[in-house]
Amino acid sequence: MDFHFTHEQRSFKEQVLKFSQNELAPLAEEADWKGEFCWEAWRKMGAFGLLGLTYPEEYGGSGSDVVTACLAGEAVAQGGAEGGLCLAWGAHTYLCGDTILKHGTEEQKRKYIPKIASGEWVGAMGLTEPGAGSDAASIRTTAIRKGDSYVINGTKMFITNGPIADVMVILAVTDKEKKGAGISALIVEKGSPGFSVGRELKKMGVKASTTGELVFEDCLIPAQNILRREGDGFLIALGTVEWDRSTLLAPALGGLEYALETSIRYAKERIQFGRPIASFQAIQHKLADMKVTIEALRLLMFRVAWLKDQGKFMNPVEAADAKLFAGEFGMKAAHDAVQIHGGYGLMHEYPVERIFRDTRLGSIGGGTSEIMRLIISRSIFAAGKPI
Amino acid sequence: MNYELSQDQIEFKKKFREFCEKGILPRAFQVDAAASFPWENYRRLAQEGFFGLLFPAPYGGTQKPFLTSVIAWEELARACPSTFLSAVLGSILAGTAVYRYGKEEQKRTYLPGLIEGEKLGAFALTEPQGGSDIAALKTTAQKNGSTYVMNGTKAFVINGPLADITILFALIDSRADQQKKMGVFIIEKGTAGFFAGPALDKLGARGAPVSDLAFQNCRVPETQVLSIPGEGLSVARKMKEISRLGYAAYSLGIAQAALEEAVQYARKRQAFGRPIAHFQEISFKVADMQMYVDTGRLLVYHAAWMLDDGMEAGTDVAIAKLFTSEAATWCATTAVQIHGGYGYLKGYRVEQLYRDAKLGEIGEGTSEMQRRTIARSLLGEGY
Repeated sequence: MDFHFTHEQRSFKEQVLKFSQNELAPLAEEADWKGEFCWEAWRKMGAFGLLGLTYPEEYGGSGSDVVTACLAGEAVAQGGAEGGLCLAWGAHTYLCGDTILKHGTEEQKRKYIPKIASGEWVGAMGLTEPGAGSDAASIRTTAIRKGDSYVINGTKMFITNGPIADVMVILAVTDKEKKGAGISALIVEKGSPGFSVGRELKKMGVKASTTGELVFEDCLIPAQNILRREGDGFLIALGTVEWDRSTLLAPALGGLEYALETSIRYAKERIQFGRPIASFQAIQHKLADMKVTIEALRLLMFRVAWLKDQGKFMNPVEAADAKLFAGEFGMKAAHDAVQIHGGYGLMHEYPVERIFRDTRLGSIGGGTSEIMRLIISRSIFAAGKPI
Repeated sequence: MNYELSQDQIEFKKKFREFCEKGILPRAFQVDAAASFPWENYRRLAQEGFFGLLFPAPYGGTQKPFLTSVIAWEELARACPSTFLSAVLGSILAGTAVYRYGKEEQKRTYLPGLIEGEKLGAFALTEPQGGSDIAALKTTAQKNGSTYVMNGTKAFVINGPLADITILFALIDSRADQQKKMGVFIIEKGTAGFFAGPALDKLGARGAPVSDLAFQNCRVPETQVLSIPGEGLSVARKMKEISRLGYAAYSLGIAQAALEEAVQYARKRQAFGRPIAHFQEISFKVADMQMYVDTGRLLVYHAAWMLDDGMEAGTDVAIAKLFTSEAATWCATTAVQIHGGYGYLKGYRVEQLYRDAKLGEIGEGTSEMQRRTIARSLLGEGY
């Protein structure tokens, strides 16, 4: 075993942390307050090279390994960036871009990846529907082949970046008879006839990411926009959601580190009964518990990243462990951070208030904690293997 | 970066688990029920080379990295927590103190016996009034010519009633600077003025004898001094890391055992016409247990790796101990819950694990002490 990061990885993380502290953190409060996508922060991330980190250089990326990408995700949030920005980044770079990169034809890659890497285009992925989330096999949006086109009909729900996306990977049923094996992944561009954004949804947290309902009414796209072959959509989606449970957790880790650092600073400055509240054990123990959560999540999350770097693409149990832990323990840590701040912790001007709301997504987005427990328990009981 | 054990370590883990299942586990129930020292387990562990894992060949060991030891520790705790406590936090801890801080002659005198399993060791730091508060210790070692005269009482000493050698911490100069007044001594069984109390009756880990020790004008020659006189405090602090890692492995093994028991029971127990594993109330509890065990194992391996790498690991060991011990009590109580009424009966393994788990949150610094250690690392001195 070896838990060291390389020198390059550590120094890159430092650079991203500074970038986030100087360039992204100052924009966080307003973006959250307005609940609007922050183009200024987005463009800065694009210019820094964060939006295409893991893509090969020939497509405008940096060819980073997954561990490095996770360090960047951690650092952006640790530096104080708003959670919605991190979420938009994840949906854009991993759920959309990486899916096209992994499964697209050379032509599709050349067309979309450089624009996604630079941030010129925003990407999104559409799997969830009003009536189907983790039960992906029950999606009802259809894509029927007609000549050189697919005709898409249906509605997608909770789509991160949906309202601003230029390019989307959409999961739709191409063959109703085959259930899961009849689902396909298709690339849809903004402006396709019959595509519209139903409504933009307002959220509790990660507010600077846009979330939308996408409506397809006889939406026409070219037949060559399919990813791989008809029926491969389910497999593609499975690989994609695992990003949710790994790389997209990196900002959750960073957010908790930011909350801990903020809480330590506050506890040292806040005087009660003639001494800093950091000297009271009730406060100290909360800080200690936050630290335990952070160190455990670090190990869990980077294990999934490392496994991906070893070419092990699917790690459902390891990913579910990380996601379940982040969702459950992360919320406790965010709660403690607010509690340490007392009344100030409820105020917008204190970042822990935002982090508390942003963290709530952890046990819901990308598969709820209950779905993680389902995955883990199935791996134990269904397989019948020794543990 | 590499999150996997080496091939050798994977093989070792598998072999050691098989050994524990055949050689240790069958006596775990009786050891607990009778609260009797697990001599047979001890003998078998020695044959297996367990006591030599941390020590080099000249003394009879096979010196492996900490990580390898921790793998074996977890497996032993999974099979029999009582045996673990005596073997690791009694004998191996005493042996480690001798190996790290002893003079060559002391190592040659004491290590082979401990490694062969013929001798038992004990580690006596805690007193009735002071455990984690090392500065409050009162046992004295008065220098008198070429001997030291010990007076005082030690508490909660694992292997206390049986140990052939006891590592004793005592004040050599109560007026000296805080950092410089503690001495460490090797006390042999039978030394005049050294009395071990009877084994105390305990909630769990009942097969590991724990007692008070009394020293009344107990004289030992200065050749029994371990380390440099006055360096006791730093010895105690470094030894705490190893001891806490031991308790973390203890808890991890118990949590793993509780998980396995829960899985087995949930598979075979039927209710409403199907195995209770089919109910989410049960299977989701098991999923949480699995997540706790997996996370705890990462923390324990990580802390062991840090020690192997020569890093300052005090905080990370505290994190590993805090997390795994609380995970173990949670997993054990949940495993009892999944067993329903049967989990409350003697003879069901989870009943024993439930009692054994609690020690993890107390031994070598309560969970509160671990949080204090971690908070100190975050806040610095002065809080």
